[in-house]
Amino acid sequence: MKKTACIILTLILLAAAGLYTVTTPAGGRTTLAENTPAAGETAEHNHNAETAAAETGTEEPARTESGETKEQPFLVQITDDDPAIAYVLVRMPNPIGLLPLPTEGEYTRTIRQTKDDGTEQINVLHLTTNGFWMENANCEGQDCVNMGEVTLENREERVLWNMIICLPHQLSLELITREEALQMLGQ
Amino acid sequence: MKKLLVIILAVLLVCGGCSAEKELTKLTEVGFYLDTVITLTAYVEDSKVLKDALEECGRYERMLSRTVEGSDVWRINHANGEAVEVFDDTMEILLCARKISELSGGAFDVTIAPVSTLWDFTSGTAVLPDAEEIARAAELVDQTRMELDGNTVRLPAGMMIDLGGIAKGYIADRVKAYLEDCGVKHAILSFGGNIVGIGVKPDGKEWKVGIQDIDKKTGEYMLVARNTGGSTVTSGIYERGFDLDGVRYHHLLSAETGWPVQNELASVTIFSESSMEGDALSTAAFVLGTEEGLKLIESLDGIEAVLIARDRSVLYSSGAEAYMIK
Repeated sequence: MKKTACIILTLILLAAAGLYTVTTPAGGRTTLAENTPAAGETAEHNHNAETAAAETGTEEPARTESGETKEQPFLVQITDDDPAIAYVLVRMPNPIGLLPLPTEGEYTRTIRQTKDDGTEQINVLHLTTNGFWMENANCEGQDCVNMGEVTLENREERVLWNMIICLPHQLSLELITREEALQMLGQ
Repeated sequence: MKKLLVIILAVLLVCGGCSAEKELTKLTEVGFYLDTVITLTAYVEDSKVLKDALEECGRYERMLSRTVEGSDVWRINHANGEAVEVFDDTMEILLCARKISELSGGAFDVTIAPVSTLWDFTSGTAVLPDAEEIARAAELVDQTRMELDGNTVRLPAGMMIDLGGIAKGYIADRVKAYLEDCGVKHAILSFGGNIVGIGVKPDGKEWKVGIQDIDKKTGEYMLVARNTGGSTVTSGIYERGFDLDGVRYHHLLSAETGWPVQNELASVTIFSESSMEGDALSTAAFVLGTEEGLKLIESLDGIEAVLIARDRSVLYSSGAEAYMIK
């Protein structure tokens, strides 16, 4: 009898644990997935990123002549083996994807948007192990280029907290921790 | 035994339900409205409430924008002297604008549009408008000639209003109220230079609001203020504007002359409950200058201010230091 009770209790506990999944509210925890049709179907970064890029009019990652180097793709999922401790969340203005802070060194990432009239809106991000800044942009006003650096240390008290925003290009960039990214993705 | 299992099951169900409801995530939504960026950050169960709040911002833009055809403001400006019926929201803003204008001796004036439309502070080009044109336009700036009656507004032909110095504050207040009605208890919302908080962070810590360093890049702070659920609004010369021949031409215009106000101040930050009042008062206090500006703030209950001068000296109203972290 005791054995049966134990099994039943275990089953109940499992069911109770399941409640958290079942009652996770509908309506948009997985923010990125709403804007990227391929999201959630696979954890393969490159595939998703290119789909996201095509959806939003951004160019596919540029390749060198050797075809080996290409720009960091946007991530729409975070895998366990991804070593990044923080990410830049890119919105135009809806979320497009994440760019991981490098674990060593630094890199730049060009974001291109093509308007209906064919003009190209370009922003170049510079990412380091500790944060990011807008290195270059072809926008009016250049406010985004003049917003300084967002770092893991200053993001709680900077004037726009963890964000750099390019108003003319309707582009917003946010420095979020791995934990915040996982929560946002509902992972 | 069965009874015991039923009790255990019931307890687990109740606890499971509670835990799921309390599971809050820090989420942000971003929107571009009224020529500015709106960021809504809140600890919520999902992002729907924030998305709905952004849609509210879109609704207010269609009501209050000077450039959106058919908005209340557009209809007032194109009525050629006829009375125009407006939404309650528009009237509430115009009445507040009138109050702040009267309190500040006309330093804040929503009928600034004939002048402000002659200036281009956003394209990055440094071009001065024609001085005679500015002088002629400045004669059309006088909110006392705006008739407010019930839900109708009448403006003499040629005059125009621009709610740029107050509407963001109003929208901030309304969006805050909307989120509170939806049960949001921890949020920090930014509407251009207007910041409003809802409560504090879930861990009990206050929100930090950086006050722009007047000589540094946008985003770098000179002071840090605390926000525990009120409004923090800053107006400064480093915002929209341009430099030409050693002079800073910025968007804080004199209602009297039509030219950017050149005094000892670089920015004014207002702490208040109402962001609409804070928005208008930050402009009014700036235009009045240090002495008169502080006098205005001290005459008002529940309003505090931090004034940063161009020489980087900082002045606080009598209760403002309580809002400062560093």
